[in-house]
Amino acid sequence: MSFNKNNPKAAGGGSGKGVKKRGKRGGEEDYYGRSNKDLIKPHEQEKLSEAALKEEIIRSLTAIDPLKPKNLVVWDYNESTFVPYIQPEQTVTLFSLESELLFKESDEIAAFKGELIDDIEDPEEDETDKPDEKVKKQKGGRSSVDSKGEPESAVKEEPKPAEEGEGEEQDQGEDGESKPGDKPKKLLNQFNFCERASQTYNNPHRDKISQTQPPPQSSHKDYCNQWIIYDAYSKDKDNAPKVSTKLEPVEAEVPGGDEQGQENEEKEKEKTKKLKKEKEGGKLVEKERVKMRKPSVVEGQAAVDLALLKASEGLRMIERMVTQNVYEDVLEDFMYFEDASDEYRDTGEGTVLPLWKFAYDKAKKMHVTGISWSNSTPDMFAVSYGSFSFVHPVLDGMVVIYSLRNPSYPEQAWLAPKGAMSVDIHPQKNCLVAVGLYDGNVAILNLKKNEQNEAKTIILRNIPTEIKHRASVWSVRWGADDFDGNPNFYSAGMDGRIIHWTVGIQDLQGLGGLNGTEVSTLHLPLPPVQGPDGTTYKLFGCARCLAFHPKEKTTFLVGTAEGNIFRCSSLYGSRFPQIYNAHFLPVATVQWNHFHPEVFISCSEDWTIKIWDRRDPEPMYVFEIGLPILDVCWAPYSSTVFAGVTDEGKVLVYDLNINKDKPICVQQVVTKKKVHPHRLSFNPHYPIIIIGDDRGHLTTLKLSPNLRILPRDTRNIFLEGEQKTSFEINKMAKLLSLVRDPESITNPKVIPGPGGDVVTPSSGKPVINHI
Amino acid sequence: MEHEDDKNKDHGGEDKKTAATYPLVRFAEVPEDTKPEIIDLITGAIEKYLTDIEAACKAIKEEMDKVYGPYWHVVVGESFGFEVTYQKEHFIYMFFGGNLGICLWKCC
Repeated sequence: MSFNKNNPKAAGGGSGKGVKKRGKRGGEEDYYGRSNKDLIKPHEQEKLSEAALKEEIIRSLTAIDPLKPKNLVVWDYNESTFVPYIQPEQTVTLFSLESELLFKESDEIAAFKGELIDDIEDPEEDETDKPDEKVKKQKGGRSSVDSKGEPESAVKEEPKPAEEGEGEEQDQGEDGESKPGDKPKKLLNQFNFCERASQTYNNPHRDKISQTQPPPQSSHKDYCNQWIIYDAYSKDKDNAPKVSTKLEPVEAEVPGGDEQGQENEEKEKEKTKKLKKEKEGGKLVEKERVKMRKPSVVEGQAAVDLALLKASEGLRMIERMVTQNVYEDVLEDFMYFEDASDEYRDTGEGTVLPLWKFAYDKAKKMHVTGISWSNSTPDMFAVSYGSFSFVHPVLDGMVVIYSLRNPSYPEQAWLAPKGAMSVDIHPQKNCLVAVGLYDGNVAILNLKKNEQNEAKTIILRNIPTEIKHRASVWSVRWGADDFDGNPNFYSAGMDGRIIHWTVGIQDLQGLGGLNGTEVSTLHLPLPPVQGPDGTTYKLFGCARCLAFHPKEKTTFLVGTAEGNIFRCSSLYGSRFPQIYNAHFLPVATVQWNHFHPEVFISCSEDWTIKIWDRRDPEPMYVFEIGLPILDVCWAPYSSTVFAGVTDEGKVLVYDLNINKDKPICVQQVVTKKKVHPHRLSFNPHYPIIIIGDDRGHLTTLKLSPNLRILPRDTRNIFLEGEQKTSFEINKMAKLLSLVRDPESITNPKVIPGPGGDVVTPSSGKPVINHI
Repeated sequence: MEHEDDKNKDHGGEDKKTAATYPLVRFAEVPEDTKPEIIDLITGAIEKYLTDIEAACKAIKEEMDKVYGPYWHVVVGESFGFEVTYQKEHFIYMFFGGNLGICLWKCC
């Protein structure tokens, strides 16, 4: 790139712009606003004449370095001569810009226009041509413009071109307008950017093909003929009656050889099936034997055991089938019999119907000391056998698991080393059974089959050396699982202590032993007693029964042999929220109401059943039966129904909603004299109760419809869930308000006998009056 | 004797044949839930074009194509033999009307 640079003075004359400005300011000031006349000149400056000043000295800037040496040589050692040294180009291009401007008045523009018109299809070529032309044009100056035509437009626009950078095209447009019909107009279209187009790289197309798996195929071949079709239809017809005979084998009394033949065929088939099965079974056993024989002789014995176990499973099933056949009528009664006479009784009385009787030979002489139904499996219950007779203490006891499906023989039985006094099945995990023993120990049975030893249940006892009861355990009850999900239970013993036992995971495997912590000791609210040698000690109550609140997991009741009922909390052991002076003989049972959170029931051998509001130290209702009451139990389906059992073997069922004064059912259930039913329990699902007596027998009784009237709403639909609960609570609350409203707020409705104010035996010993 | 036997047989045969017009599936490999639909479709088409087997066949094919997607092939006839390769779960071979065999399969 090269251009001319004029002497500063002469430059003004060179460009049109300079001329213009000079003209404006009248030539008195230079570009910077200084007056030309009083220019300050340095002294040393050479003084030139006017002519010399006006002389144009052309200084040109070229790309060639004049100082560059042109004849450098280098000594070449190979050839031993000087060789011209060709220096690389010393020019460095810092910036280059191609101008596209054409001076419109120049000669080149005309040629350029013509060129464009000639080959307008080739715009790129034009562009390449442009720069050279421009250079020429600028050199040419305006003189050439003058020489060209169009003086008017040129003059007009003379000042503009330099100022308007991009005005050229517009100018040209105007030019074009001035000469309409001229071809150059095409060039002047400022939107004609065709020459700017650029094409990006086009990705080549490629084909990619993949083939999927064809859908799975199969083939079929057949022939179709008239006779084939006919045969098919006739065969199908033959088959059709077969189906009916299968479905209704009793009614298949169609005469005809064909039918009989078919039946025979079927029989034969069944036979062959059976044979096959037997064969298979035999094979299995054989296989197992072979397996077992391989390692050693001892294993062979195990195999026999295993085979026996398998056989026992089959036998158990057969036994169950046989008993179901034998007791079919009882089963029908259980399922369908409803005492029709109930509808004709005005007083709302009902009856109980004896169903199965459970008896186990080995437990013949023992007393039933506890019954616990499984909550999740409604046909299963556990019974503990022991003795209430402390005159002749029994040496052994038993815990037996029964199922209603098989009344003839227990599902499982565990011979306890000492009499079992209480039993409780875990409400959720019904494989866990807690047992309280006569000798003060507790145990857990894990009924779940062990992988190693399928035959036996795991039995876990407490460590006798550590904490344990010092007298027989009268009651065990499962508590709610703790935060770790470990099951835990509470036991209450004759020694007046409540112990809490937690069952860890390793405990369930039968390892280690149970660990208990003492929750509380039932100290009687009496002054300490003088002992020998001036010692004093506090009397404690002998716990007889334990009842946990169904909602509040920490609240529980303990009934004692002294006749007190302690309301305790498992959170703190030394103090009791309430001690009720309930009975003047040992409290046989306490139980919370299933619905009303404040109500519980208690019974005693002092001939009374009492219903309590826990906020009230006096009972709400007292029922004087006139006979020792050995057990009492709330019905799980109603808040006002409870059943009790008397010493003489009578069952009493009360529904307070129907009759507050008399039981709606009194029935002798134990026929023999001298047999005392000790335990009574409602099944949580079915309308049956079970009664255990001191001969080891259990009797199940079905309640007639009048004894289990369920609440209905206005549309005669049974209430369920929340509705039912609130209904039952209201029912109970109404009954309570009946006795509470009058002045005798704390007085029970039926005035009890002499036992109204509680007599506590000062010796602290229970009065045992059983047999 | 023989004659009599034949007669008896014929008699019995007629008895059966008069009743034997229901659809009888010989071999089917279709999903159980669609099976009754397909059988209904076939029987419906044949009952519609009682005299024109060809039209019935065409109707079945077109309906099957429409409902269960192409490409179905149908053979309806009184006497034929076949060995077909079919897409699994898309085959039914049945008799209907006492004298017609229908073979329906899908294959692309």
